[in-house]
Amino acid sequence: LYFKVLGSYKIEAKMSISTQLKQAERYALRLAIFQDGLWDVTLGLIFVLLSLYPVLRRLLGPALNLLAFLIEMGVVIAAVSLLRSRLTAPRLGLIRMGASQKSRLRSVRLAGAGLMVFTGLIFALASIGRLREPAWSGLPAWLATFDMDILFATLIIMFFSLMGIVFGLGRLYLYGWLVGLGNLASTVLEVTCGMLFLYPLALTATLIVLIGITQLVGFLRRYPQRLAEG
Amino acid sequence: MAKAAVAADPSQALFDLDRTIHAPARLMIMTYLYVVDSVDYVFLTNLTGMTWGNLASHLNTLEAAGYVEMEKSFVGKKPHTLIKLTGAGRQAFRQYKGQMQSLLADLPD
Repeated sequence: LYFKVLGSYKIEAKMSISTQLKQAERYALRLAIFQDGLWDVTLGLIFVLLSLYPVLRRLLGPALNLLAFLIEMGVVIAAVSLLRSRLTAPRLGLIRMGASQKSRLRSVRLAGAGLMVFTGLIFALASIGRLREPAWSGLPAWLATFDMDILFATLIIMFFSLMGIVFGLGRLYLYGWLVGLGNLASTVLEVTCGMLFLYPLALTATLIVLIGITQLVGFLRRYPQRLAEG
Repeated sequence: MAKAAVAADPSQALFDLDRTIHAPARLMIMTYLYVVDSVDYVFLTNLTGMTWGNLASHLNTLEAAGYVEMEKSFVGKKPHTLIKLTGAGRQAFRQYKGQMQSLLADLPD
């Protein structure tokens, strides 16, 4: 009887119970944050707005453009919040995260904030002339020209990869490459061809929005709204 | 002496497992409740993929054992139930986890 019962646990024996608990923890997090696709839609729309930023700056001027950008961001966030509260939250239900899940979220937020502070610092120092680009020797000219942009793209890819690892979600790796390379390609086109509309970034951001919408449609089909418990 | 012999018997460790937790459906519920602070009925249904009736039946068993507590309220006119592990439930799951780990650790491939 001992071996008969243990035989049914052979698959579980290969994977430790702690690993399965971690997977359960990640699955609950993924379901709560990413399953409805609205996170993806928000991310994609923010980058679409960013891709329009240089064109609108030329049309509206820096101050008005910044104001327009903030209003657009507000509209996107309000619309997504409304969609979440009316459409997906009632289907998804409510979760209060455990201590370990909160710590995972905190680590991602810290990394994101660190990346934003680092980028802001670089731009601020460069704009007041305190930061000069290093004079690379022995590097090809194109690599020396876009050194900071390549670094920034690498940081974006690393950040999304970190998110992918923390949440165990494959499409976050793809988003890292899409946003990182889209941004780099846009900068290259802007510098070399004077192209103001960052269309590689717009294209990759639109792809992220489309993935989010597909995810949302799948979510709505998979999780019908329940009128009451039981 | 006889007691020591029983404790050394590996099959005894299996019989000592907490059967309230050991049933696959309840093990799944306990696992998810162990890694979160609390969830409502809808979220737990989505997590486990179980039907309302099945979930309610297993939750009642776990509640009767004192492993989960259910906080019932109304959101508007709709009933809303928040479910979480009790201290005893968390302790029982930890113990179950330790038992299973030591049982499976020496299992040959």
